Amino acid sequence: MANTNGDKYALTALFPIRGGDENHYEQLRSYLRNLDKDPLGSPLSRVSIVHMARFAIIDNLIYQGLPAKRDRLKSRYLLFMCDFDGTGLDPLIGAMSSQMGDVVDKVWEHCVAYPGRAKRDLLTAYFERCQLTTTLFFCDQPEAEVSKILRGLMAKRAFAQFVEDNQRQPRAGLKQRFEALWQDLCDRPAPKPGSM
Amino acid sequence: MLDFKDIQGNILLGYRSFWKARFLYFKFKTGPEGAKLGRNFLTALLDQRLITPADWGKNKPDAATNVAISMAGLRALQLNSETLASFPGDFQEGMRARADDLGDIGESHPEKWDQPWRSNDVHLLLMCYSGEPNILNSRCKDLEDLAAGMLDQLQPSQDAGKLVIGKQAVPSPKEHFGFDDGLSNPDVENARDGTSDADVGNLDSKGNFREVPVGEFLLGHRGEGGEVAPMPKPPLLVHNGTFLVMRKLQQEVVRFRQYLKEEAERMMKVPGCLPDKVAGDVCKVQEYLAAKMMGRWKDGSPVDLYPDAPAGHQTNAFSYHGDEDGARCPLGAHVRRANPRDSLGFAGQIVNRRRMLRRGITYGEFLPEDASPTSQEAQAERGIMFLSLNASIERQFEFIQKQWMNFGEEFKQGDDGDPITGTRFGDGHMVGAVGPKRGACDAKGRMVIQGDQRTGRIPYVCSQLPNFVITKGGEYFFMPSMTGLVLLASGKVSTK
Amino acid sequence: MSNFARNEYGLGKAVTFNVITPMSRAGTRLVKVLLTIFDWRKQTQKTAKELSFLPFVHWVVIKRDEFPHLVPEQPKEELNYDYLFFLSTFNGPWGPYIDAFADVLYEPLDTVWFWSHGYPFARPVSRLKAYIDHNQVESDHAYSAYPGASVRDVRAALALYKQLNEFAAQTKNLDEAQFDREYNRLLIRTQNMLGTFGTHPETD
Repeated sequence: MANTNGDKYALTALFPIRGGDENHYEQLRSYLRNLDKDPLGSPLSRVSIVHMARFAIIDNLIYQGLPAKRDRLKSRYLLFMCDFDGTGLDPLIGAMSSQMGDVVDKVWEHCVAYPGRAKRDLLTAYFERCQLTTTLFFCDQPEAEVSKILRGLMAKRAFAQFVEDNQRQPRAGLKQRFEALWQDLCDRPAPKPGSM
Repeated sequence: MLDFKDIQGNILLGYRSFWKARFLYFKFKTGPEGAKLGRNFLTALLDQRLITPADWGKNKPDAATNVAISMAGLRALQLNSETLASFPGDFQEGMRARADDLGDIGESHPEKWDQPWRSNDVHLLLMCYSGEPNILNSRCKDLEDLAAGMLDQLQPSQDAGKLVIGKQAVPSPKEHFGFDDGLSNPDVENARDGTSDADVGNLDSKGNFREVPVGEFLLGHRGEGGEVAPMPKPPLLVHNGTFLVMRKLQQEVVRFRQYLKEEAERMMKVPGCLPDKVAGDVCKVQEYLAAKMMGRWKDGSPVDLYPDAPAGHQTNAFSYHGDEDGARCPLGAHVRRANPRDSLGFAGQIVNRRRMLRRGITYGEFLPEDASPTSQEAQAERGIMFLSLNASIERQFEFIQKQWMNFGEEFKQGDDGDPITGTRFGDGHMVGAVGPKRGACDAKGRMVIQGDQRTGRIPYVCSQLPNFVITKGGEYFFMPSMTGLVLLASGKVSTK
Repeated sequence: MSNFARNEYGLGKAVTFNVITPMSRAGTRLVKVLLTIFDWRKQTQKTAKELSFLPFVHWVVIKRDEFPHLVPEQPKEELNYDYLFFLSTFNGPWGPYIDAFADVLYEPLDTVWFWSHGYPFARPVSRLKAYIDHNQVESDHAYSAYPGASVRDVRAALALYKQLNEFAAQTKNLDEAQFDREYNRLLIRTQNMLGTFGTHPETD
């Protein structure tokens, strides 16, 4: 199925947003629009398997003009798209629930039938009910996990600087300097998601 | 066929022999009365046949004048709101408003621009050209006298002209950094002037050059991909017209020469980064470095064909096929960015819609090579009045400026910008990438001169590149056809 | 700007792009088959990969009765069309790039979107742009784990890491002179992987 490509999982899901008099829709949109105030760009940065993700509220279906017919939605939907390392939903739900549980509550409490986080199975089942099958999943790097990409980027930045610096230095000691650089790159933890 | 009597001069065919130019700037007076006076001025220009079309007729004039109007100018002429709103967003906003996107920050920030560019007051631009300084003077005086009372002239006017270098009798094709300029313009469909022309067009799927459809440079005609560029309304006003990008680009010649000198010395200390023929000779290393940054040698020969030494061969008939890694011409070299030809794959389809006609002309005096960096003449202002013509400013000029000059992504150079004209954001890194936000232009960029697998020559990283080119002003203009001018002068532009 | 992933230093290179268009039943069946073939045969994705500005793209066909209905109190949708969700990520603003997209990929684009109501064909591109403008849905939040890195930056980073890893292992026992020679070769192999990257500060 197209939900996967290599070692990547593509989640596309539509969550009906609660109606009624409590302005769930307005509150949700305003909450989502402020999520990027996080220094790492998003609370999703706490979930280390996520490559990219987005939220979009589907307010209505856009009319194409005659001869098309007018489609009107009876609910608004929260579109959640997430590309992550894995072969199934559960690890993502588990990580989101534990690493950004407050945010999960604040987003999904505005959605119909959100079961809360207390029971992980219920939460996973809820996501599965709202999941759409991704018909075609295009992915540039189906194999590389987030930490590998971040580690690569860190090495790229460091080595580029190394090349530039060492060009101006005598060759004597180059081997030692390179080995020190490489050791340091191996010892350092991968950069935090969202930091680069 | 194209109606060359309707299209203004200097668009499809450049003024080769008119090597002296002056740009006169005007502001329309305010209110309905100002608009009326503005129209009267346009009427007078037309009545006195002062605007030069592409077709000169039987007799070549001794001077030429062309006219262009900014968005503020069209507003001051009080065109109807539907017409005004139909112009593209880039033109409506004007160059100052797009400074961030264009990399006009730091030293190039609009607050630091020269007059008359510090506001959006340049409504009407008259571009005067001649081969004779005296004739140019009298033509400009005639135009200024004609405008007096009808328009407010903005000072200073801008003198420009091809450089006279040393004791040469003929004006030089060089720009201030010493490179032969204006070598590469697109070969435009139906616009051949019958002279032997070195211009080449876009590449076709077989790797042959073909002419570029005229719709890339004139409104109302078929462009690349069967596209007609978005047309403001009404068609009569804009057909055969085009958009003109004018930029006053100051060239920091002392800085450039100093950089070459110092970087060449540093390069010579790095074993294996220079070809043997070049390595021992400091002058040659400087020449080599400059050529690798530019993508052409100073004499105009392409670095891709002549990677190690100039050859006096000013050809345009080359592609980057076989040099995918930049061993001959660096991937980030200026001319390879400005027109990547087949560098980006897809049989050139990625670059086809990014061509411009360039009619730039230098201003200021050429600084002799032996001049002291602290001398008065070294401090004098010099640069190039960058003029480019395109059917869509956003798709052509702005794309090139933003994606190709100030960014290196498509050339595998990451965020590293053009070594000659790029705006430096950080010391090799984008400013924000490495630390807290800093002043945008205090730091410097870098460029990789790729090595060569076959000879074992190693790559060299040019670092600490300062800004060599600083924007000092500019605006987006609409250059109407003769018909469009008549319509503007009549005050009867209507979309009804 | 909620279409852009970002971090505290500025805007990232990944911009999200969502287009939702209505399709007839017949179209839906065909599009599903087409997309499934494109998904299964990765060879068909070669051109899109070569364009090198798409990290992730989802094409999702959702039938008129497939909008999630969770509880009886939630009204059931009664729709006239099925919908094609095109959820893409670009490096760079989509406007200028859509030309490239249309020129290079117009055949598959036309094949897939032909079945959507009002689709104008990919060329000439200005009508396609208008169609996209009409049907685009802005993201309310976008995230990338590496916002400052483009597809090319990521490719270069992975390739470079591999090179460095191998180099470190292979040169361990070399003397200085031998190491120098190998280092020179490494420089040539990695010279186009060294470009700078990062998020871009927003101007005030």
